[in-house]
Amino acid sequence: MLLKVPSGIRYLIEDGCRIVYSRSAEHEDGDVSLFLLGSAWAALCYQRGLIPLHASAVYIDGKVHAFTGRPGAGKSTLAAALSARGHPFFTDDVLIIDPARLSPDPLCFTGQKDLKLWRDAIELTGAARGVPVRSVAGFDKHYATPTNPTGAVAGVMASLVVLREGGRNSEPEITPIRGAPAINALRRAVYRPIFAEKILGNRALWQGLAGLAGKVQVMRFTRRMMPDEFDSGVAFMARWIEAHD
Amino acid sequence: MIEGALPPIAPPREANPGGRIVWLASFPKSGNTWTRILLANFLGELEQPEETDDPIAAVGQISSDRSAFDNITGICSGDLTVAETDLLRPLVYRECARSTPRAHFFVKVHDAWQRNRAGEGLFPADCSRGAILLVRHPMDVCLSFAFHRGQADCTQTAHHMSRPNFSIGRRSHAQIPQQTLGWSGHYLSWTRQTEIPLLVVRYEDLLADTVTVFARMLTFLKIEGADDRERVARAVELSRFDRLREREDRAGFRETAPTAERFFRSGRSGEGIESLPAELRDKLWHDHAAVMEELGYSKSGVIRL
Repeated sequence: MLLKVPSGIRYLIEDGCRIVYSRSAEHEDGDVSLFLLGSAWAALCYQRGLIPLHASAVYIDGKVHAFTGRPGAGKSTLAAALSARGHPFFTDDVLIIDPARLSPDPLCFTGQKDLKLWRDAIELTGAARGVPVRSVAGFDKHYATPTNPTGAVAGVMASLVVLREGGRNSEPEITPIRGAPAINALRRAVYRPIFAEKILGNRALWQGLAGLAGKVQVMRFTRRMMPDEFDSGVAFMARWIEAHD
Repeated sequence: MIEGALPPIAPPREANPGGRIVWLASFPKSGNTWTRILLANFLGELEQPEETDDPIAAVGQISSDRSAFDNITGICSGDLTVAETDLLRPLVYRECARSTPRAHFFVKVHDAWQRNRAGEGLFPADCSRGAILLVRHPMDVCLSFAFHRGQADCTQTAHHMSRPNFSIGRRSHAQIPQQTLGWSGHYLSWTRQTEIPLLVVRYEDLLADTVTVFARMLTFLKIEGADDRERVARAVELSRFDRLREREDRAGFRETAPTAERFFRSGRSGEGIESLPAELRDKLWHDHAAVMEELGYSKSGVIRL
């Protein structure tokens, strides 16, 4: 598979074991690694029959609690904030599932160990700000180091929580998603779904997700996203994790 | 401020029924979402799946939707510069048009009509049925937009409305940044382009006689049933402002800014003229008089019908 990004860098992903890239002198190493560890890595996973999910996660005593949602839903921010409250940070943006290893317990693997956060999210979570993810002026998204990372690279996936913004009068709420809606929620959580369809195929994808849905708790976390309510939302989620660990 | 005479407006053209995308273009807070809901109710496509938080997801999308961009391109838009994102946007919209099972796919657009650095229009004409450009008196826009941004003082918003490089969507991260070119620039960009057939609709006219003006939109877009007044009236009834407010209170609304108390605020016409301080009314008139006059908007708020 050939992946071309608009900056001009190209990646050839082959046989689930090799990524060859082409860059020009103007591209810095960080520009190459950014898409290599994101989209190109995801394509490689699919070539191996793995399913990357678009999720960030924390790790508690071998169990992984993951958070997914639309761009801007707060996946990375919530994982970083939970890390600051003592729940070790596991992965950012990508969580990898192996459909062949869902029994007896569903194993999952880390994607990226570095957080990528916008400036306001760094301020909210207390993560340590690193370099900008792009070497262009004014790019306000940065690599960040979580307060409390774990060195673990694999764990048992316990839950996938879909983050949703609530209405003006809503209270924080965590509700289960079961049956077909749970599989649909997992489908929406698939990372780079266009690669999944083209490389893995829809049948293998749905089979993998159905298997996973039978093994993990799929939940919906609804909360308001006003900055002054951020801490209470994180605390609500933390209590739920502690109660279900 | 626009110097000299405005360039000539593009000649009217008929919508292209072979194109699937209908662009609902507007500067923010000009009735775009309401129009999209009217269309959804007319087409019977407003069912809200439990899993989505967007009450109008079923009928189309926003041009700045990061999910659609990321899913179609396989690249995270949040890792791209604005110029890089713009290079891929025509591809994204063509794919939306190709893959939709519907005859028409409505896309809300706050961007000005522009070309990317490759010289291609961000909104490709080859998959476009046409565009509705919604405009609203800038004083009302200013008041409503300031509220949307969580600001009681409208000074900064009035300033932004006059900035040719004013873009939105940078703070929410749920959206791709959109270059508006300011209030006048936005209107001029759409009305002077010649690639996409366009109908200009004033919010005030839509508010005053929703059934007639909405039917005019449907006719322009060559949507089946446009002459069925009863069906049009039913869609209008289902899209009443108080219903939208109640729905937002109950279920939230994806497009509500984190800083805003709510998305659907009042919807009334003339509030800006009543509420804005004189210096801001003067500024808006000074900066936008040429376009306001072309649209029939006056400084005192009298609207030529």
